[in-house]
Amino acid sequence: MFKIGLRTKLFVAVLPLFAIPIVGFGYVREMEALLKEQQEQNLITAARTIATALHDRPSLLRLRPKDPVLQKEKQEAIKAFTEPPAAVASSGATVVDPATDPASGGAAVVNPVARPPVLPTPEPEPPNASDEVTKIISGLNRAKSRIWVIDKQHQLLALAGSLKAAPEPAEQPNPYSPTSLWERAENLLLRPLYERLLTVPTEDFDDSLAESAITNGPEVERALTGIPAARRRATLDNRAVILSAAHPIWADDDVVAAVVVEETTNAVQSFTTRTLEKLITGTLLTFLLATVVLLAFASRIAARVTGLRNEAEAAIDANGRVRTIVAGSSAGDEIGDLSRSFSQLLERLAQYHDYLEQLGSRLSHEFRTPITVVRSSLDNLKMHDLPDGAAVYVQRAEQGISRLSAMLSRMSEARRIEAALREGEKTEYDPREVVAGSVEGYRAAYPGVKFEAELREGLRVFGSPELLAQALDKLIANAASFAAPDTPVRVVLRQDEMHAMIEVENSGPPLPDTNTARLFDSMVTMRESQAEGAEPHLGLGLFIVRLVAEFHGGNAFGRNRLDGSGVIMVLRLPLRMSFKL
Amino acid sequence: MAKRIALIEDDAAIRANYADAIKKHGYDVATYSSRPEASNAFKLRLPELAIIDIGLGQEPEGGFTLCRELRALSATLPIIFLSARDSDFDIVSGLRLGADDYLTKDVSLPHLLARIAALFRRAELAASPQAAEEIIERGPLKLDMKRFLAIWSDKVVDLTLTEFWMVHALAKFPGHVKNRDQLMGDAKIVVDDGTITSHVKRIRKKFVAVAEDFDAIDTVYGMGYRWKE
Repeated sequence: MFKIGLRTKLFVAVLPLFAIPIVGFGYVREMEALLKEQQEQNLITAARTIATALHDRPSLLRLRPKDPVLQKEKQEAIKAFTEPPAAVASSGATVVDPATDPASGGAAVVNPVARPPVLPTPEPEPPNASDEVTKIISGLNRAKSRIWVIDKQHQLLALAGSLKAAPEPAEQPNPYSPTSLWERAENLLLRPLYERLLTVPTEDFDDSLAESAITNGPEVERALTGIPAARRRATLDNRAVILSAAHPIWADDDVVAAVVVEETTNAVQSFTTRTLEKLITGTLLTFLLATVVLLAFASRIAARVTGLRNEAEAAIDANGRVRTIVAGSSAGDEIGDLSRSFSQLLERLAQYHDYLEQLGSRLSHEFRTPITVVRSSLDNLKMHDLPDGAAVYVQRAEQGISRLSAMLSRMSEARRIEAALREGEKTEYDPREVVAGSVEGYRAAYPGVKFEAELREGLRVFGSPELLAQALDKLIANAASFAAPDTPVRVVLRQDEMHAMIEVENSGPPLPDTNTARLFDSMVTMRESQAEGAEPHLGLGLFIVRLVAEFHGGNAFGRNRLDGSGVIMVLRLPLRMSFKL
Repeated sequence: MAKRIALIEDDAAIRANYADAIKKHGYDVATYSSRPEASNAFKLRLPELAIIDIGLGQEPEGGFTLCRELRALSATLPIIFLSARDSDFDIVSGLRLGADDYLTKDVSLPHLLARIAALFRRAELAASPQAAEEIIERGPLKLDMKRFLAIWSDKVVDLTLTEFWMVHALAKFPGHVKNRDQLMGDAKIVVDDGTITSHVKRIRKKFVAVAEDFDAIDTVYGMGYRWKE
């Protein structure tokens, strides 16, 4: 199944926070619109100011078109820098508008700003009104704006200013000039992103325009009818937006001309862009920081929960017995609580388990007194003269009580072995001696069973040979009772990497698939039936085997032969490493 | 005059049964059901043998206390613990307090009576040292079958009756393996294999305490034990 970790979930949970930068973005856009509006108003105001300067000075505007030749020249001069470069190129002329020549670069621009004063120079003789107008508007001009004056016939009277910044030699007031390490990193990492996402305003746009486009623009049209107007248009190359405001110039009550003030929206644009950049940088930083913190937090929590899980899993072994108690964490939070309650839970479970395992020996202890009453009564009874036929009942009662007593002492045997294990002294020994001796003994003890032994020499284990012999007794008794008639019980001692494996193998019914691990628990037996009069099975034998195996630092398990024809019980004891090579 | 045996046991039925059987064998029996009752009686008159249960009514260790009191009154009085408790810990504690034997309640009445008789015999002979001796010698081991004394290199090994009988069973036929059932039969006890193992362990320890290099009792795994000469 697909699993989603805490980290992922937490990450998804904080996703709504991304709305914050989006809201911020919308806000900046709003502000941009506002600023543009304001710029428009300003431009109109500027146009009005200029217009006011020219009001009621028809003399300044009247000179044209007195001298057609002059006018022609002028027209051409204007045309030289208002015409789009494409047109120039197509005409084969060598005039190149430096402003639009990408090769020339910003610094090399021969700016039209310098030109307008030059324009009128070819006609020095007449009292040059147009020149006068140019002077006035030049005086009123603002940075980065262009002013036209157009008469009623849509003819250009004067022109001043440029839409582009003056090409200053030290023209790198670049707001992004890397001054600190941080800014340099920002430049390196974020600049490409900004350039993709945002329209960075450029000074490198084509501001040329057919004169007629200006002189016949709708705003001019309206201004000439006496209403100030503004218009927004893209440059020919679409790299900037030009805002133009037109205002009528009045002479008495007539509109004699119009002033057009143009400006790019670059200032607003670059302000917006910078704000957005700051917004993005700040957001990215905040989110980076928050992500790191959240990730660290989530990882910590996940690690603690995982740790607790592992501890809890390790606390209970395959048999469901409590091995170790989870050490309750001292942390004051909920996970600490969980860990502590786990600890408590396991402790109670362990106590209950202990109680169950002790139950056998406790019962045996408690039953001993009534059994003694019965047994001593029977003993006394035998000392009396009993009527004929009564002796057999006494005998049967004695048999019964002996069996009961044997069962009880077997129940307490496990406890006694546990006690022996607790104070057991460990020695290093060769299990082969024990196994070989035991097998010899079993040949005598089980005359009806054939034993086969295959024992490896020279293994050393650490534990108690007596206890091992006792465990072996149980395994053999188990195997002998299950062995199919006329099949041998096979005892193998072999080495398996770092362990000595003692395997007792018998042919016979296989173990049930379920619960083979529990076979070695106290009071668990998998026997389906038992022969009449056979010793009762309490399921303590294999429990003792397990205790002995654990005393040796090993374990015990049972498995079926691969072909299912029999059972192999295995004692797996770690080898004592001798450091002599 | 009949020998007087004190029986301290809190279970009335068991007490009566044992008392009947002991009486039938010609002993005088005084029965007590609690420790104060018994110790008051002992202050007036000491019995010649005491059979004590460990758990006495409200006192789970009452028998141990009583044994200590009795030992203080007499150093030679034979004391047998007869208890349902069969842990090594209890057995060792009981014997350390100076009891001559420790029996679990599995013991049959005939076995109990055999022990009583043996202990009386030992007490009598200890009192009259000039009695005829019946001694089995196996190398440095001497077993005085009358006094139930085991001597290793002229030093007395302080064995309980059960232990003495087990050593005797082993040493009688050196080299022969005695399995656990045989040892139980010879020692007149009915216990499980584990108890035999701990008995043998205790016997070895007692001999080792006398002679450090003692290793005359051999474990034959899967079969039993044998005496090595």
